[in-house]
Amino acid sequence: MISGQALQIIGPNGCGKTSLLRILSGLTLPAAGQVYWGEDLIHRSAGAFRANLAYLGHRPGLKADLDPAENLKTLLNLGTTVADDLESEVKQGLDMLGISARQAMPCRQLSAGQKQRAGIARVMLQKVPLWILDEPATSLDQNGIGLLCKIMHQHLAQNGIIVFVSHQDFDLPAGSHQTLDLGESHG
Amino acid sequence: MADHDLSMWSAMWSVIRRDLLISFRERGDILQPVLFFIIVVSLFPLAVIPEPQLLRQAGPGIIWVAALLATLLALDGMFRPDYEDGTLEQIILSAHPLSMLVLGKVVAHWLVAGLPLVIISPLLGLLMQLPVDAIVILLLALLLGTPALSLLGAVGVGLTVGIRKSGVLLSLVILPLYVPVLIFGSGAVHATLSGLDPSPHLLLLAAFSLFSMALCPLAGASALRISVN
Repeated sequence: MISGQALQIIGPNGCGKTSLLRILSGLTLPAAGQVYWGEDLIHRSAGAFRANLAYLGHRPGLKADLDPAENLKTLLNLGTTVADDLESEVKQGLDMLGISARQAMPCRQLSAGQKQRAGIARVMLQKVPLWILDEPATSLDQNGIGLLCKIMHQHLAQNGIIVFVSHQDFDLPAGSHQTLDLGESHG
Repeated sequence: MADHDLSMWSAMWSVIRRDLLISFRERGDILQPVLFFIIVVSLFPLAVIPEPQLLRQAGPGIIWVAALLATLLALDGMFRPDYEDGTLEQIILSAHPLSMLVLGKVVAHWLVAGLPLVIISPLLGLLMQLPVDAIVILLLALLLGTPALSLLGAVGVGLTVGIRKSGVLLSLVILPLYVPVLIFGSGAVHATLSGLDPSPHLLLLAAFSLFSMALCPLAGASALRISVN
């Protein structure tokens, strides 16, 4: 993968798309093969790799008892570079994803789509080069998918890298969008 | 480097603050271990002959066993909710040392599930007819010993968090590790009751807690990585 490129992984259910993403993010150890970030094995220099990684899994990683802003602040505090005005950045990010009206509501009262939007806002605010997104368009409405697309455009324009699994067709710049079909290799 | 250290502490602090905030919003969950502790201990005077002499002899042991069980009851809450909602993955993917974040989770857990047991223990000491000096030692022993219970527990929960219905397995893994805390903890109170110096027991308890604090976050971090693999 090179900067400014997006890789979309497609394939039939159960063919190992999520497993591939978990291996790439370092959550799962591969049975064979190695994953490199730049020159380094990701398991050798795990801290340096993780400082560059934003991962959005099946579960968006929100605590049901906290509201979206509290959730995002906690998660962003786990990073190595925390913005000085975290409060307003989180507010802006949530505004952009269209969930600011529900900011003071615990996440248990949000719909699946709203939670997914909060997850996307978190990835965006992490401000790191590598995004690994597992079905980011899940539960999103048309408007949400449009927003996601726009955010991914911006990230690629800033020389980011995106690896994602989705069955959705994304309207990404043609030169920077590749597709990997895991179904094909198995015949 | 100093900057990096600072952000590590702030990451750890944000984990502690988040867990305390969640516990505060789910107040019913905090009360459970304490109520369990009180009820288990108060069953004994009802079940055995309520002879002050007998209660005094058995009291320290009963209180400590009940404290172990109450801790065990609350342990699963340390990582399982995080595992289920995906926040554990985010914690593991943090660039900071996972062991420090695990230590943060243990600190928050002890404040919510361990400290209340320590605070309520004098009341149970009175129930067990313990003299005042023994109650003071009981309080001290629990204060020094319960952190080790939470720390060791983190390793056990880390290992079993990926398993459904892991309650019994967790007890089998953890309770044997709690034995030293139980022995020195009740030993300190027994020593006071027999007019001996309890400080060797207390010092050993403190040493055990410090030892756990050095090793358990590392072991817990490895266990968690294996569990989410």
